[in-house]
Parts: sequence; structure tokens; C-alpha cells
Amino acid sequence: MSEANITASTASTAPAEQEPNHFRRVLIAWIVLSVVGIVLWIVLAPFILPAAASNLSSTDDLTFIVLTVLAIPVALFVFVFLAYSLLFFRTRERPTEDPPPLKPRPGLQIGWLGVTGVLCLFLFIWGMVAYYQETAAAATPNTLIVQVTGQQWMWTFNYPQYGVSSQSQVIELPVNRPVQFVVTSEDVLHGFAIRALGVRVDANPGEITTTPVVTPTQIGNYTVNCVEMCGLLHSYMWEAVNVVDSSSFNSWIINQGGHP
Amino acid sequence: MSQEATTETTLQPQRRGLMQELFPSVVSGIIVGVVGAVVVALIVNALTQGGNQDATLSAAYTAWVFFFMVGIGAFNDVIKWGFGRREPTHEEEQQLAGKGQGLWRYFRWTTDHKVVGLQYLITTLLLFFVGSLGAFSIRLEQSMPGARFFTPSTYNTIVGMHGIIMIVAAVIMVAGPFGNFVVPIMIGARDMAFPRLNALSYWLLFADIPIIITTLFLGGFQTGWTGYAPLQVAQLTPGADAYCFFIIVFAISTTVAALNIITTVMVLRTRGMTWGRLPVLVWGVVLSVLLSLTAFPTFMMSQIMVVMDRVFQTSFFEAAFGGNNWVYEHLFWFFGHPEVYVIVLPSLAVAAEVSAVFARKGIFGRRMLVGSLVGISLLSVIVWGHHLYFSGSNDPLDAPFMLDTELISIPTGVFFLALVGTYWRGKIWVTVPVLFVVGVLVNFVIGGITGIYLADLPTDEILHGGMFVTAHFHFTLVGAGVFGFFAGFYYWFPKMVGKRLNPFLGQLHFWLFEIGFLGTFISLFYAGLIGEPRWQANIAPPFAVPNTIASLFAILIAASVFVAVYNVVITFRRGEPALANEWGGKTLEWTVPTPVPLENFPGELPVVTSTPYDYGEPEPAPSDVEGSLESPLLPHSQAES
Amino acid sequence: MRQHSSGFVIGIVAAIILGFGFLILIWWGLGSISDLGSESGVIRATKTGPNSATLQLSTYPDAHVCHSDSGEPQIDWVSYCSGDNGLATQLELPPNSVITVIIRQYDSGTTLVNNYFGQVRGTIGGVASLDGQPYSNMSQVSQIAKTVKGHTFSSDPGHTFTIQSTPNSPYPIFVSVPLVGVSDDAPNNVTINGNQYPTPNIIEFQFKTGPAGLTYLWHCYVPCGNDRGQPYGFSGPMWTLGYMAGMVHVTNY
Repeated sequence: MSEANITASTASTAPAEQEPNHFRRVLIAWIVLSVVGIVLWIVLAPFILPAAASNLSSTDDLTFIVLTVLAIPVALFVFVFLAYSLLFFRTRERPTEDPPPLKPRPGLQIGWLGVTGVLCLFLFIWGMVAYYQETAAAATPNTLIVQVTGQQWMWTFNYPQYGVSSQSQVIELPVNRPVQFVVTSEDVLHGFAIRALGVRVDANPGEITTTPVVTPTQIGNYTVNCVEMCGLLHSYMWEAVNVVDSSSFNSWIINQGGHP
Repeated sequence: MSQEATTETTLQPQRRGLMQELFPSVVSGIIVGVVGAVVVALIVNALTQGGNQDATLSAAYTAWVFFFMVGIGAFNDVIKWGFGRREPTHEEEQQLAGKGQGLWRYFRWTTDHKVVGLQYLITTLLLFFVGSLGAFSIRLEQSMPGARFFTPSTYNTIVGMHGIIMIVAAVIMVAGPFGNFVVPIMIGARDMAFPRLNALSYWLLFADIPIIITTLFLGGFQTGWTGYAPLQVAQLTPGADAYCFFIIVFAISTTVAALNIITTVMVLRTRGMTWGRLPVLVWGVVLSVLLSLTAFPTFMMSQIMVVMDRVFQTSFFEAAFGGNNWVYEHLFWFFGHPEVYVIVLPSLAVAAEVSAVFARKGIFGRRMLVGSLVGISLLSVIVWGHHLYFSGSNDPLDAPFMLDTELISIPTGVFFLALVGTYWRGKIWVTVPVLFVVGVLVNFVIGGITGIYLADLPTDEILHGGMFVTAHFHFTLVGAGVFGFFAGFYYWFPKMVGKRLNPFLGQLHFWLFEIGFLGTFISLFYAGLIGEPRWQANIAPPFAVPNTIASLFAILIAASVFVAVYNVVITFRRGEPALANEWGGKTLEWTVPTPVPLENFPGELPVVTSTPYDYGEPEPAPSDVEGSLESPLLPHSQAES
Repeated sequence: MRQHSSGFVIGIVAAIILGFGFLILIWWGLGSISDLGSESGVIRATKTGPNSATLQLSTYPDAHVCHSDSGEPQIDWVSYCSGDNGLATQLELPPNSVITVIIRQYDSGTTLVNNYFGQVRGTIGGVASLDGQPYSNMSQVSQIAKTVKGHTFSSDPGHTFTIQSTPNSPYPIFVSVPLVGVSDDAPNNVTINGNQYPTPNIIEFQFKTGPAGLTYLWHCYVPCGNDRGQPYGFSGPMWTLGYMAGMVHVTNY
């Protein structure tokens, strides 16, 4: 909305000499605040986002950071223009005369559509590329398969390759080895989600769904919870995900009664 | 029962007795409805030997609605004029519109669109109040870890009731009060196209409300507002049927109202009111109800299928018997996504309408704005799959749904351009409606942008099913939707009620609401980002801090509710009378006196020669009043307006 | 800002108080509606020493024994009771103790939908005892000799007794024991509070509690809540605190 976009009105007077260049001021405010906002975000993001513990969740976190970097100037555009208008163009009482009307030039409209269109396309392409990178990996013989059964209100876990089930509310995973979860439900819909590893998929009765193949990259203790409303104790459907080194994983398998 | 009231003449000198006032009215409707429901329930209970509570309850709800309509006199016209094979006389129509009935007309089957509008307004506010009690209960429970105040099943029922009551209130909140009261006057009509259907749509909503309240005494429902099928069907106690019927009856009410509004705007515009000169509010309401015509039938069908699974043991959604829960999810979200635009579009239109009046400037790119609303409506029908990214259903469709969903940001961006441009270089009179519009814009930016995170597959992978989603839809539905409603409320209150609301209290209402709202839901964004799932009766320790902060800010929202209630109450009691054109608006409703006469325009219907946004324009040259779709040519400037 | 009368301020304060009063009313009202699952009934394990206690529970095929004042449909629901009469909604156990659980199981068996729950888990020794003889999986039950004449066992469990942890528990406990079902054709030769039941299976096992102040959940994982079959078996008593689900508190007493 530059000065050029304001059409001449038959009833307006010429702008007074003292009148500041509103558009330039608001543009500077917008740019400065956007830069400050983006820098603040990039500095603070590692403290706000939980640590990414797999190849998938690091891509997801990066996407989150990039989206926010784009979102900050977009949001500030509206906030800054509105705030400026309310501060500098307000009247105390009911106005007695109308200001000159403003009509958008076709150039502005097309330019705006173009910029937002490009932004939108960028978001889409980034999202598609990131998601297909994440989900393209196929299961290999090395992939650990964990069968997950949701039942009101507990997840039970089988390791068919070792002929063993987890004896308690724990999924044990070896670090740096791809794993795929094969999920189903015995009763109603449940949502199998491991936030730290960046996987989630619904557990449907009578159907089998799978997560993408994910490789945990950080040793630590994480959680799996249920993210689809499943009744009385839905908020207690919560179990531990322990990512350990391979020898600890093998000992654990033996403890559960299996053979690595 | 009905004969005395309808055959009375309008020149009634003596006061009518209480019995004559009560029959027919809502009181007789309730009495006949309850009696009918109980009798039918007893019959069905005997037929099923007490073994199928769902059947008994379903029959009872159906009978309640039907007999309520009988009792309130809905069928009286059909009997009198249909079987009598004659048209009603003008006096009879005026009688039906409430002439000479004083305040009783609000408690009867009244066809005057202004009465129906006020009935919707009071009901909307009541639904908001009941829904907020649910909200505050939720924040109370979630303020600390552990299931402390409510058992998990009570909490789950509260969450579900808060959700569905607020959704229903949000769907009707602008189209009901303002779509009914203001839109016919705005287009220069004397009433809606189908006045009796107007009364029907309202009383169906009224009869619907007790149905959802009964769930509390029948075991509640455990599914949250989405009513997902295997869980809803499996529930043995019959409270789930209350949810299903609440929706079925509401869908009928909305469909009737939608057809009424669309026909009215198509057919009853006054001379000169071309589609090109239509106020933006009318566009917003019409697009919203058109969208609801695509959405609500699916919602209703999904609930009928759930009722059939529960009552007749069909297996639409039971995998063990050959059904599938993905069917429910697709049916639900095919409704569920357009439905949020049904909620938001009229509020955005109110925001545009109010901005023009208080910036004393035409909407910046009015046709572009209307185009953006049309674009949003069209796109919203084809995006529902983004709710199903991780359901396991049809993964190859994730990509096209992601594209469509992100495309909606383009017309939304155009909408923001229009409104920002309207305020830019205006002469802004900052009143309470303007404050709420600013709230709409600020909140909708945040809500819209966070929607992008959820639309994008890599980020939805860490956010789906968590509190980030909850915060996002509260920012859009409440932050944009409800704030838009309040903008319209403060804007049109002087016309609807004739009194001036206290501006200081209005400002207090806004600031308490906005600050409380931002604090509550930004905390919940953070909680969702670190992994808190939705529907948490028990807050796990890692999420305790953001939830406590959110609950503290929610106290401000509660305070704002009471400030608003207090404002309305004292205004009714001793408010200053408002001017007929309180704000200097240019739409037709500000040209009629307050209180608005029964047939809206004293004398002849007006003839329209320009859009209502020609602030600062010179007087148009006299032109052919049967204008084309183009806005009237102005002597010197460019064509667009 | 204009001056405002004190009436204004009083009005605002009164509105806030009134609103919160409404909230309290709703909370009290909701809590008292028993259909929504209000909790009552605290059962304490009986202490048998400084670090040991015994918990006695019974599982019945209906709710006549400890929910005798319920109406339809709850009166027909399977239920966990304490001993002869107590409601088993909330269990209290002493901290850092070995808890011996003795369950009298009066109900018939239901085919497991998830074989995971056919295994005894989390108990001391990894076993439970059925009429005094150890088993670690339902598949071993057919080998167990019947010491009571005419007493047969079903090959399916009637219920499980499963204790699971709340989120992020500092001392996780997971115990799951399938409770062997009474055979379908067993005669009703025991009377409890005027109701007839078959001879129960006595199942016993032990597990350890941790520090005081922690909460756990107990739940049955054999869905038999309704004879409509799956998935209806998962609702009704399975969803209602005090029947087939409840809380466990580890506290000092």
C-alpha cells in the first residue's frame, strides 16, 4: 500500500507539509520488529522445543523453526499496521468528516496474491519434501519391529523377532537402529504417539497401521502416550520409552524371556 | 387450546387472562412435550420389555421434540389455513408476528424476524454461559496434576458438553441473532421469505437444549465433542444418545434456517439492492449458511448411524462385525471442517462491516474481500482429510489435502489485506465494537498461522492430538468467532434493544477477555508443543506449569463474563436510550427508527442507489436505479469500490 | 475515566462471587450424580507386620453383593468387591511392603482378546497360586490338580487384576495376574449375602510397594462387560470406577 496506490479523491486536500510519511514509518517498524523477532526466536528455540531424539523429530523440529521464522513477519505485518493505524489515525470523538477513500490498485492485489502464493507454495513443497524424506525409508531385515496393541487403557508391546513381550509398561529400543511400530487396537480408537521420536499413528480396531521407519539417535527416557480420546482413563495411558545402547537392549531382551 | 389466542382481534381492550397468555406459548409446549415424551417412553419400554434403554430414550427424545411443537402451536397454522384451504389474512399474519402481544411474543411461536433474532440472541448468550461453566470446570481440574475435583468420567462428560454446547452456540451466534434481526432490514425487506420456518428453526433449537442436559443424568458421554464411533457406540449407559439427538435436531434447525436465509437474500432484496451493492455482512451470512447446507446433512447422518448402531445393533462402525471406524471419521470431518468456517465467516463479515463504519472509510477492496470469503468457502469443503493424516486411512491423500489446506491461507491473506487497508489512513473512532474487531484480527492471525503448523505434515507429526490443536481452534473459533460476535453485539445492541451499553464496562470486558484469552491459550500452545495430549482428566507432572498458568489467566476470562452480564443487566434497567443511527452507519438498518416498527420500513420500501461503503465519495450522479452488477460509476475516480 | 459509584464496584464484585457460586454448585451437583462415576469406598490392606499386608478381594458375576442399592443396568454388572461387602473403588496399601493379594474369583471365564494378559507379570517369583498351586500362564491351568471335589477350572480367565502406574511415576509398579475362571457348568453352592455363586477359585500372589504418597490404577483387562460381545464387552463395568477399575494409593496408616 504505497502512496502510489492511493487514488486521488475529488474531495481531498493535498497532504500538509508537516505530515509524516506514514507508510515509510510503518514499514521500518515492521522490518525492525521482524528482524528482532526472528533473532529472538532462533536464539530461544532450543530452549522452547523439547530435545529431538530421532532422525524424524529433528526434521520436524527444523520445520517448526522454519515455519515460525516465516510466521513472524507475516503476523507482525498485521499487528504493526493495525497498531500504527490505531495510534496515529484515531479520533477522540465521533468524526465529523470522512477521510479520503482508499482503493487498491490491481498491482497491489496481484502482487499480494503473488507473494502469498509463493509463500504457500514454499510451505507446501517444504512440507512434502520433508515428509517424504521421513517416510520413504522402507523396512529392512535390520529394522526392529515392535507390535503395539492398544487396549483400554494400556499399550502392550511385542517384539516378534525375539519372541518376547515387554513385561511391564516399557518399550526398550536400541539407539541408532531403525524401528517400525505396527499398531492395532482391541477395542476403540487410540492414538499411539511418541513425541520425542516424532511418530504417531492411530490404533484402529480390526486394522493394522504402521508408523514410518524411525531411527532413535539419542539415548534417554521418553514417553509414549495416547492422543485419541478413548474413555475413562485415557489420560493415564502413558508408558515409558527407553532408548539404550545395543548391549543394554540385548540384556533387556534376555530379561524379558527372549533370545536376541 | 389454540383457538382463543389466534381468533382474538387486535383491538383487544381488556387484559387477557393468564391461561390465555400461557396457551399457546413455550409453557404449553413444555408441558405437552414432557407428557408426550413420558407416554411414548413408557410405551416403547413396555414393547422392548425394558431391555433396550437406547430405544426408549431415542423414542422419548423424538416424542419430546414433536409434542413440544404441537404444544407451542406450530401446527395451528397448518390446521387452520392448510385444511381450511385459504391464505391467512394480513391481520392474522401480523398477529402471528406478535402484534399487540407485548413481551409475551418472545415466549411464543412468533414469526417476526426481529423477535426471532432476539430469541436467538438470548439463547446464544445462555448457551455461552453454560458452556463457560464447563470451560471453567475444565480449567479448574487441569490447574493441578491428579484427578482432584472430578472423577475422570465426570471430567470427560464435562469436556464433551463444553465442546458440543459451544460449537452449537458458535454456529448460531452471528447468523441467529444478527442474520435474523439485521439482514432482512439490511436488504430492504419486511421480513424473511419463510417467517413460520424462522420460528420453527428457533424453537427446534430451544427444544434441543434440554436433550443435552439430560445426558448428565444418564451416565454422560465419554467421547468429547467429536463423538468418535467405536467409543460412542460401545457405551452401555444411554447418555451417548443424548449427544446424538442433540446434533440430529440441531442439524434440522440449521438446515431450515439456512434455506430461509438464502431464499430471503435471493428473492427479497429491495429495488436497487443488486448483488454488487449487498453489505458484506449479508455475504458472510449467506456463504456461511450455504456451507452449512453441505456440512450438516453429513453430521446428521453420522449421528443417525451411531444411533442405529446403538439401538438396532447395526455395525456401521464396529470392526468386529464388518464395520470400520474410518467411515465415521470421514463423515464427521467432511462436516467438521466446513463447520468451522460456518462459524468464522459471519464473524469476519461483521469485522469488515464494523471496520468500515468506524474508520469512516469504504472497505479497502470490497469486491476483493467478498471474493476472499467466497474462496475460503469453496476451499473449505475439500480439506477435511487434514484431520486424518495419522488415522491410517488413505495415506496417499495426505499430500493433496495438505495442498488444499495451505491454499486457504491465500484468500485469508486477502481478507487481512482488506481490513488492514480499511483502517489505514482512516479516521478511526475507537469504540467497543472496534476493540473487538482488533481482537478478531490479532487472534485470527495467530489462529490462522498456527493452523499452518497443523496443516504441514512434518509439524503435525509432533502436534496432532495434542493441546496445540486445542489452542489453535480456540484462537480461531473463540478469538476470531466469538470476538466477532461481541463486535456485532455491541454494534447492533442499540438498534435491537434501543439502549446504549456502558462503554467503560465494554472496554473492561474486552481487555479482561483478550488478556485472559491470550494468556490461557498461549500457555496451552506451549503445553501442546512439549507433548501434552488432549482430553487430560489427569494432568501429568511435566505439563503442570503451563496448565496452572492457563488456569490463572482463565480467571480473567471468567471476570470478563461477569462484567458483560452486569453491563447488560444495568443497561436494561436504566440505560440511556440510543440514537436511531447510533454509530453513523450507512446500511439500511440505521435508516429505520428504534424500536424498529413491525414491518421494518414505515411507508414504502427504500430504493438503493449505491453501496453502503461510499464514505468520502461525492454524491453519485442520478443513475438508473436498476443498476447492473457493477457499482455505480463515479464522475472522476476509478471503477472499483 | 469517569467516577463510578460504589454500586458499580459492588455490582461487579457480586457478579464475580455469584458466578463462582454457580461453579461450586455445578461441581457439587455433578459430583453427587452417581451415574457419572463418583468415587466412594476405600479399602485398606490389613497390615500383618511392619513391612507386609494382606489385601482380600472378590470378583462376582453381578453387583448384588457390594452394589446392592444400584438399579439397572449396574446391578447386573460384574464387580470387584472387598471380601464380602466393601466397595473396591480405592485401595490403600502401606509403603515399602510386601502385599499379599488373595482374590476369591466367582465368575466364569471369557476368551482373551489380547494374549498378553494371559501371563502373570510383576509378582514376586513371577507366579500366582491357584488353590495353592503355582502357575505363571493361563496355559498351565489345565495341569493344576483340583483339591476340592468337583471343582473345575475354566481355561479362560474370568478377570485380570492389573495394577499400572500413573504418568511419570517415580516408582513404577506393574502387576498383572489373570484370574482363572470358574467352569461354566459349576453348580451354585455358595451363598453370600443371600446370593448364590459357584465355589470360588482362590488366587494368591505377592508384589512390593514403594514409597508413600504415590497413586496407581487398577483395572481388569478381560472385557466381559456385556454379552453383546466385542467391542461392547469393554464398556459398562469396565468403564466405571468401583466395578472393574479404580485407584490404588500407597500411604502410611
